[in-house]
Amino acid sequence: MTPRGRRRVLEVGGLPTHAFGHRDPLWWAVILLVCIEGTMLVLLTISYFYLGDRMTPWPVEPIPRELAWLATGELALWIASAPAMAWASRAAVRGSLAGMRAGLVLSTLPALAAIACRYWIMRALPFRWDGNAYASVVWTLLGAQWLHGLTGGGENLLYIALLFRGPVEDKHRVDIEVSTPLWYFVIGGALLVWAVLFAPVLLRGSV
Amino acid sequence: MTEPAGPSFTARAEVVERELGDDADALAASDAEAARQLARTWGRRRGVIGWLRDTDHKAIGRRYIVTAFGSFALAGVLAIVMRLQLARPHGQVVGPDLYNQLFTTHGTAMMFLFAVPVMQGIAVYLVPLMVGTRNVAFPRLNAYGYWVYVIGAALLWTALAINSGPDAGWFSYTPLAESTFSPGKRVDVWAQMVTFTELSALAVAINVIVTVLKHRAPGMSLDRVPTFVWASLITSVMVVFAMPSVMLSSTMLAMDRLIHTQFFVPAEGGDPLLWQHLFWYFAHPEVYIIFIPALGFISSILPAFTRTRLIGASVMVMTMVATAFIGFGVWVHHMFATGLPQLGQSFFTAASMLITIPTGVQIFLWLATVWRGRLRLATPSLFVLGFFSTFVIGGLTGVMIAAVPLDLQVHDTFFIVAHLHYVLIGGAVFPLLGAVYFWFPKVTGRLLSERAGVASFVLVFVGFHLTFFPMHVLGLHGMPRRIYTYDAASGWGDLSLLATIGAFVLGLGVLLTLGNAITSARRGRIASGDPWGGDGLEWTTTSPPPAYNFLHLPTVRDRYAAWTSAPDQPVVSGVRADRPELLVTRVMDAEPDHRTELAGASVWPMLAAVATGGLFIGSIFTPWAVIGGGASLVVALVAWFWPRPPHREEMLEAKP
Repeated sequence: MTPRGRRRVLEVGGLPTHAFGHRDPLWWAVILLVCIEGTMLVLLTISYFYLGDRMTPWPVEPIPRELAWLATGELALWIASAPAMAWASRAAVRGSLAGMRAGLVLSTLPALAAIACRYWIMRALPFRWDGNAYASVVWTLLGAQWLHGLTGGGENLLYIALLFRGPVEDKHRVDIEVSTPLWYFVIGGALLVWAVLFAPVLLRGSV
Repeated sequence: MTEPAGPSFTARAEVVERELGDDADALAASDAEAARQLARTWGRRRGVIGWLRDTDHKAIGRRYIVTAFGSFALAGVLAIVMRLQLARPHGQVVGPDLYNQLFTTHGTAMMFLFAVPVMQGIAVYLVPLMVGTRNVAFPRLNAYGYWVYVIGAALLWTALAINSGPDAGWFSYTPLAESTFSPGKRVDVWAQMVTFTELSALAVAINVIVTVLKHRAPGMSLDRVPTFVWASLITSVMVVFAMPSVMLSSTMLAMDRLIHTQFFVPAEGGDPLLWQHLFWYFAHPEVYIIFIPALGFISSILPAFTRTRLIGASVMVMTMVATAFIGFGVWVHHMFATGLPQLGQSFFTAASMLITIPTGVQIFLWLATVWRGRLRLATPSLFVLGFFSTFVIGGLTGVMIAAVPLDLQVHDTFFIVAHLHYVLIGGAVFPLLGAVYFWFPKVTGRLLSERAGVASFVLVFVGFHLTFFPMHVLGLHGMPRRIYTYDAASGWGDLSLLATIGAFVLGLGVLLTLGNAITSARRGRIASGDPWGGDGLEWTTTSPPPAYNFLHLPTVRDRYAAWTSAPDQPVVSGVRADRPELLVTRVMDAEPDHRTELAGASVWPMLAAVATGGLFIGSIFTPWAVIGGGASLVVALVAWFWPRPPHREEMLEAKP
């Protein structure tokens, strides 16, 4: 029994006020966001194949080969952004402001170019979303994943503004580090869209 | 009862004995000062602005619960009107157009605005208390979710009030729901309401999952997590993987109607069955999203009312996980009548029957607990007993319609209406009403009237069976659901009248509980911190809890924390009281890991919800609303996340 005036306590005052990776609650929120958006993207992809199984001919209207090459370039830009994002993430853990700035700028620039590419691809498609079910699902897949890219790119621009404007706190380092999985998810989404819509065009010619 | 092992803590956070003064008076003075500081940090500002800015999980949870019960009451009124219309052949109470709006709005409100939000609201209120922390992990996201939900509820009820209520059924099957067959804005209201109210469900799910995984009291390893918290965690994981499906499908439906995409239009290659697959992939798990929290209620109520531990608590958790897992593999049993390959029929019949196994285990675990303990009869335990009999009947009819030949016979008849109400009201609303009586004293600090509670239980139980049992027979006699009237020669009149009488008795029972809640909140008997002898951490603080939940953050050494706390059980020290700071613990063993500061109260989550509502509601009328609403949302989000004044000691050394 504790004597009067004394209390047994678990002293946590010496613990740090931030942590990285799965130790931080925000990391879990980011992963759950990836699960939510990923589920939606996967269900949309399944819908694409479901409709394709019931519609002849499929694809109804061919995607031109040059657009498929442009989409490949777009994918390359996304993939090129990954090492820089990983660099920014490691710099955040180290507490290197210069590394975070450089990593984020170098990952965001190709991403912005990729976003512009996607816009161009959608404008150049030979069909509108309201033509038929094929056109609808292609436009929605491209648009949904484009929105992911826009969100990720927008978030990075805000971080860049913060890093150059300051003041930068420890929690901002954590924010940058835990948002990295979201960036990789955007790249994964771009890869999925390319594999579903554009890779068959390149593999089999203009189908 | 064996003595459970005590907590073991990390080397960086050690249990020490601290001198706080010469005597107990010094200890009390130190506690009083800590309470004052915590109240300043966690309390909310006065006035309307303070109310709009509030991000306390208890305030948000209470608002969810009250709003959800508001929708429950309104949807109940619609049910009474429908029963009046069907009481006799050739009823003249409402016409077919209004009847279509009534049953659609009733189902939509019950599923989207009552059943899921009320369960989530209770989780928002209770989970932080049960795991021993001061708020949810993301309070602003929590507030945003609530405001989005309120706007969705307002949209649906306003639409009905101005004769623009949805009218294509709560699952809005295409092609009926397409603009060719449902012109006007009614289905658009349904689709957009569903899309953005599900944002709210996802916001709560993220909050519950992260709060449970990262903010548990030291010592609360996963095997010591209370059963209701497990239920909330499992439900939230289901929400994460089920809700995207309905958000996607309702967006596709809205796009079909508003910008002429062709997802579900057969003439342009679309497929109405794609809608059914996407909708039921969400909607069948939704039944378990509603039901699993109820398992948590029962597993919390029974130990308190039998004064014994739940038998097989770990098995109970495993069966919940099994139910959730299998719940994702049975959606096609709603589509047996669409014509499936033989293999598909067999698979989904087997899966639907398989899910009865974990449910059966759960029932036997509760019965064994009642058997071992001494059941004290009071309103919460009465509702649990009502659940047993009612839910078992609903489960058995579920097994019946899992068989394709029988399902084809009773598909779209009143047999299905009876089954789904036995499962949802018996399986979820009975335990929910028990939970209301159980935790009401914790939320309000006052007890509900026990006499009115028992009377309410009797009326609800009798009224429910009077209403819905005859519907089994009506369905077997071929009465289709969703018809606004019928001929006297059908022979359905007498049982329909009986069901209508039952609906009034049921309504009276619910009204009695609502009245009881309103009067007892003001004049009920004052409740102590633990009026039932409950076992969870929520019973170790005052009723109602202070803004900061616990004066000293607790540590635990058992699943039944309140029953097993040692006289000198250590409390957490070192979490700052002058900032909204929480302790973060490790996922598996809940060992202290670090401290984190929450974002404070803010009006921006509410304004972001208004922008979200503007975007979705406006898009029903013009695509420009997407641009305007999107821009407003971006502004609101930037303001929401705008950095607070920095803490000097946490600034990066190499400042720009």
